[in-house]
Amino acid sequence: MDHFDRLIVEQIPRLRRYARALTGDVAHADDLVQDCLARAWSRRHLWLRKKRLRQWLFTIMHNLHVNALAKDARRPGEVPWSDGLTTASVGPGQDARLEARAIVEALAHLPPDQREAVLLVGLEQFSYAEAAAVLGIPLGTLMSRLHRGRERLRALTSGEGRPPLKRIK
Amino acid sequence: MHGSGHESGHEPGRPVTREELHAYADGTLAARRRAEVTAYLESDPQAAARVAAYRRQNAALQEAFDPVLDEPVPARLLQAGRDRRAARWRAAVAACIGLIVGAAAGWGLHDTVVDRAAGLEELASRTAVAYTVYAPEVRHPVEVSAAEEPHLTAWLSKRMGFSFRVPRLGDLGFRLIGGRLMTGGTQPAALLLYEDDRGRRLAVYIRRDMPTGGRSELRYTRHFGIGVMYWTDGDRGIGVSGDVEKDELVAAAHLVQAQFMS
Repeated sequence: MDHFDRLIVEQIPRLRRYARALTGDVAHADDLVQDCLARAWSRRHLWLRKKRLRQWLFTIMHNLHVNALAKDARRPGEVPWSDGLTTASVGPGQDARLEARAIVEALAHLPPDQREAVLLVGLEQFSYAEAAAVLGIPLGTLMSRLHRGRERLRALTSGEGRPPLKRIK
Repeated sequence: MHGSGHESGHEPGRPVTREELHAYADGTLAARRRAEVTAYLESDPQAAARVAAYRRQNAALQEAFDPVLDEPVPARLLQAGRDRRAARWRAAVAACIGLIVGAAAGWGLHDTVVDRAAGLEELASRTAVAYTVYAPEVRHPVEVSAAEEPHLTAWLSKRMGFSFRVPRLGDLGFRLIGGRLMTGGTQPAALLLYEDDRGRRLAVYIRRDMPTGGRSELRYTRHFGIGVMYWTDGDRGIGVSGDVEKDELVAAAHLVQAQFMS
């Protein structure tokens, strides 16, 4: 394993976390990560001139994801999102767990562009400028998607700041 | 972004923007501005509720998905892309199994109309398999090498049943290595392999037992991580595959298509 491999392997858990949240499906998410890693490896010569490996990897994954969505859109009947991921979301506190479940459900109802903005900032903690670079959009567009996404999540999980108490069957 | 509390005594300064509320919630607002926004939020319960909601969203996302960080990484991801030849062989084996299963499943339907989409899908898959199996071969990638091109052309023309000309991909830096006979669905098929100066290879797969007539558009897909461009022209099905950038693959497909039509 060389230096590049080690750096990439370090990023795999975070790539998986993001892909899981993005697609809502364990197998689909890992396929996305695998494609991302394969592409990163085949383009390693392009990375050596850059510094920010994590941002570069997320950019690759974003592009693959967008391509996959475009492909799915041409094949109606295939729903890209399944909610088979809540198995991963078991935390200790009951309230925290309910909020986590509610946000996972709500995420499925966000348009993909808003979902990406919310996840890159809120989950992956990229700076706004980095998130905009990953998505290949201007900063203003990123902020607008982030705002709409967060407001939509807020509306979906509860009204006006009350904790989401909706029970999930 | 300033609501009802605007006049109620916080440091006036600049109005607080929507973007600043997000930055405040994300903890990325500059320290000096932070105090001003804190004061503003005390006077605007609605804005304060938003900020609180954004923070709870971030916490809930982390609660929901941070456990993924602690999951063991699947071996296939640790391998991804590093041992490329082995990966190709694994993909080839998987693809062959898929074809066998697909063929077995399709046999029961062989008297019914063959679905055009399924035919195209199979064309793409066979192209990817052909590339995956033969492109990594160092010593025996082809049966007849480019040095014997007249023989290659005559042989493939005879077996394929049409006057066959080898497409030129020199404009893209790819030269012919040679070709081999393959299996199509019901008739022989041909595989041509090309290589560029960097050792990258391209496969062109041609068959003439496609179930449908007419000319399809060029399509792109990926099989087992390998890009494929494929289309039909009458009973001919043509696929171009290789581990190259997509735009190169698209260019190669257009070159091949133009030369096969003429």
